[in-house]
Amino acid sequence: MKRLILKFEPVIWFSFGGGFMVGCLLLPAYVFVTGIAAPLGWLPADALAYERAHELGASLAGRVLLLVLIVLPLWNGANHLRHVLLDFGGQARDEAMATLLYGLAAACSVLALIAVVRL
Amino acid sequence: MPHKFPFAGRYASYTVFGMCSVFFVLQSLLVLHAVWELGDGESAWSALLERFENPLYVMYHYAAFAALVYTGIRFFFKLFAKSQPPRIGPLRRPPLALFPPLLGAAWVAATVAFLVVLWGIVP
Repeated sequence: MKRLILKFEPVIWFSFGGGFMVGCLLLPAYVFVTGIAAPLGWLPADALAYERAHELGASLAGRVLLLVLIVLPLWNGANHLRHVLLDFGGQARDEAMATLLYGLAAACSVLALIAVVRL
Repeated sequence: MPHKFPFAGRYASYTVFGMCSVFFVLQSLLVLHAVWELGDGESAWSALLERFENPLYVMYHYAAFAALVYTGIRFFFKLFAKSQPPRIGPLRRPPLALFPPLLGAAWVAATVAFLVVLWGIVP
């Protein structure tokens, strides 16, 4: 497993950088609108209505954007978290943690692809 | 382990920056959940928006927002320029001082564009 992880390290680090870009550029606005403004009633009534949200999300650009918004920050978080755990716990559990975190990221990336296709 | 690790001296911001990665994972999973509910139909989507009104979700989103903004500030204005190689192929790296204003402008533009669409200002 360790060799497999080492083989994929360039892809993982590429996703790490991409995840920072996408996550930092777009996620704050997304979180502010859906998680803070909407629950507090600051948005116009139909801003996040189903018809509008579905129309935005189901467009080609919407599907690609949603997929990127899920996958890249997920791999960024998984890789970063792995290295935080390395800092705190050392090398002993690294293989297990890396397998768990990258496995979660891989599984959820597949689910993300299914989710945007089925919109 | 260095004696100042993890929360003394310059390790404090390094450790907090690392801990913010939890919010990258959690928020990605929440976006996935939202997209899944959107695909399940109107009642699932409405139920999700209602769940987001729960005070626990609102508190989580405040924390996630703070973590994402902190990460963005540290990544764009402190780390990105320093991490660029002096050359990429035939191209020389631009002066380091150019990176923060350019990245800051990109951040503002992307945020405004996203807000304008999600807020319903653009139909």
